[in-house]
Amino acid sequence: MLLLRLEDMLKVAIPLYGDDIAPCFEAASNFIIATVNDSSEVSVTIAQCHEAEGVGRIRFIRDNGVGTLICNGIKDFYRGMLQADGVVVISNLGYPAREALNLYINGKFGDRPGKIIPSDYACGILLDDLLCWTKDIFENSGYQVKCGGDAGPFPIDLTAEIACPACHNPIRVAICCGAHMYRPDKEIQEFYHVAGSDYHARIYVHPESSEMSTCCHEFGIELLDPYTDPITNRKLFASGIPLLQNVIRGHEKAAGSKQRK
Amino acid sequence: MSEPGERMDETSENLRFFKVILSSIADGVFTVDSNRTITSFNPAAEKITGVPATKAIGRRCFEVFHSDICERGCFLEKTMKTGVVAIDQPVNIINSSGDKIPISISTAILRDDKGNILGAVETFRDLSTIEHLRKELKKNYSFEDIISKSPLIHKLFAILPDIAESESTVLIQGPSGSGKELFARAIHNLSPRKEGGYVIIDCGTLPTQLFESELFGYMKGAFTDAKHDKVGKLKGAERGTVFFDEIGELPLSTQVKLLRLLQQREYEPLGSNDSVSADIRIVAATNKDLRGLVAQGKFRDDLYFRLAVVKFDLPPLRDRREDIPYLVEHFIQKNNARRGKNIVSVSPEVMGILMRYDFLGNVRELENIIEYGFVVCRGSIIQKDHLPVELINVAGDTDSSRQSNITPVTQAIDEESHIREALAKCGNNQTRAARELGMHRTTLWRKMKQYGINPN
Repeated sequence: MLLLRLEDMLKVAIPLYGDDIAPCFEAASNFIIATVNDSSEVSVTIAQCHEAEGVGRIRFIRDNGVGTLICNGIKDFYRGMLQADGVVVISNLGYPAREALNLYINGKFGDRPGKIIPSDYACGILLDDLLCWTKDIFENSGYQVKCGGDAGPFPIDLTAEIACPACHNPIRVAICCGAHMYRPDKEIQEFYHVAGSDYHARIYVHPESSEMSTCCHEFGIELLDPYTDPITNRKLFASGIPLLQNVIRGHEKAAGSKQRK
Repeated sequence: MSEPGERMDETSENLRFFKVILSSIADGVFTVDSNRTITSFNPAAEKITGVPATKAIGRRCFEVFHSDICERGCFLEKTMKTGVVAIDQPVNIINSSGDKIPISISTAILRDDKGNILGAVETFRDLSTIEHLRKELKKNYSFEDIISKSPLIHKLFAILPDIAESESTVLIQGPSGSGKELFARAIHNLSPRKEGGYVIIDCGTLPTQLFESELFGYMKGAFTDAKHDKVGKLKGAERGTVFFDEIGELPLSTQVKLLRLLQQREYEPLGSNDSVSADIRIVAATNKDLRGLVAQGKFRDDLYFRLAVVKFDLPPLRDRREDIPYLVEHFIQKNNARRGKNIVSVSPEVMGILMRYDFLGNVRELENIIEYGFVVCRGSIIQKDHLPVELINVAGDTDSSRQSNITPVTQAIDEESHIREALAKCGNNQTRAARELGMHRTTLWRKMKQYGINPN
């Protein structure tokens, strides 16, 4: 007979909305409570939470001895409460609940942070230095650069313009040097909204990290790392346009001409 | 009659106009198909939710909005099923950072030329500013309004709902400005007594001779100026909560009166022989060490033990520095709402100063610093120049020599020669030279330019 040791078991809770993970943890009333061991589920039950308030769900999770919560939206406040109770919170997952459970058992999800913790991701370079460096890099790559108030509204620090190598039409680039705020994620969002669609490309200058890359990628912004030497890495510019990685819409020929070369 | 070619031009022109209109309005607008899959998402929707259109389009709306009504009665679904539109319905969503955003939504159905349902459109307005002001006005705070990432505070959060539900008297200890009143109010708002009154008695400012008359009220003729009956403050907290702030300031002579209230849950208005029963819950707070005061004979031990049935301590801000960035953000939002400004954040340099500062006045002092910044700042970012001078002096600024535009001549000569030496040593490799000099490559680059050092 197979005996399962209690200490190897873990309880996983998933708030339900039909067959999907509920959009909002604080409002969910049905939960999958699964007991899992290392590689499989041992039991799955559906439990109801009748509490009206969000804190009631915290109590529900605690009373059920849950070690991991897999959910979609969760307020940062409740995430903190659960984490203080030792519960691992895996959030922002829009999956069918059973699929999410299987993916979890197969080790596909890890704990995800809430907001980016500022001190870990601060730029660490003086804004003036970053501005000088960026301006120099762009000018040396053949761009006409505008700075300060001429460039655009905050947080656009520089705008750079270059003729497309294929069609010779101007390509406009908005640049934000990531040292204005202590929260780069917020700066990226602000940059995205301010720069809008008036530019062919948007570049955020900041030391690279996986979080920075993800955040920039989400908003369609290119990340330029001041710790690299972009000029000597010209082969990296898949767009065919200096310093730009992504192929520019309407200027695909530039990328093609580069590849032909 | 217009030709087909002209009509097409007109249609594409209209589409272009609509796109511009949708991009320029401040309200979030998105459309869904009949399966509630998002088909368009305007820039304001991106800004409010924090989710870019590229990520939102193709996902179902509830996966993006994380709203509390998605399960209980989605307005879009209802509109598509019944044709009944929703207008300005209040809803909460959770944005990509995990913050609750109050919005008001309106819905409408989308049909093709033949009247078939294509999907629906929802417009929504961010009500955060109004909500901020409303909360400030009504003081209607809950646990969710306490901003903290600190494990010390989160441990408290874990037990506070249970404390709130109980009827026990609570004593909150913590330094000035650490948020004792916010916790007391949150306990009340989460308790079964939340529909009852919430009365604050500031023991530090209430004169001893007025304590009884203010708290318990008086009858006509009880003293010379008592021209008619007056109801005491306790009456306003009936079936609610009384918060005794700065309880450690209460003189011994008054403590005995409070003790009786705690023991018997009844009191006598001045000049009356009849006792009035008090259906109240008592929460008290102090920035003093009450046990120490008991030992010194300045606070009655029997009152202390009556008060400290449930007792917890709030840590000073310097012991939970991880909360500073989140509190800064909160106070920026609050001041933006209150002053109609649009300050986005503080500079990294300011954050560095705040993280180093000891905040003897705790959260209240931090709030005052941000408020000062709002008064002085004319741009989008609160910079070092916008901080009170004494804060900069106390917090110190280790980077001041790096930041200064004026470099003393001797220092400059020294620096120039150091840079030249480092570059020569590293074979003109700027990255290695910068590392050797302990500065960033961009800083080295700037200094080389300043001193006219040729990179080659």
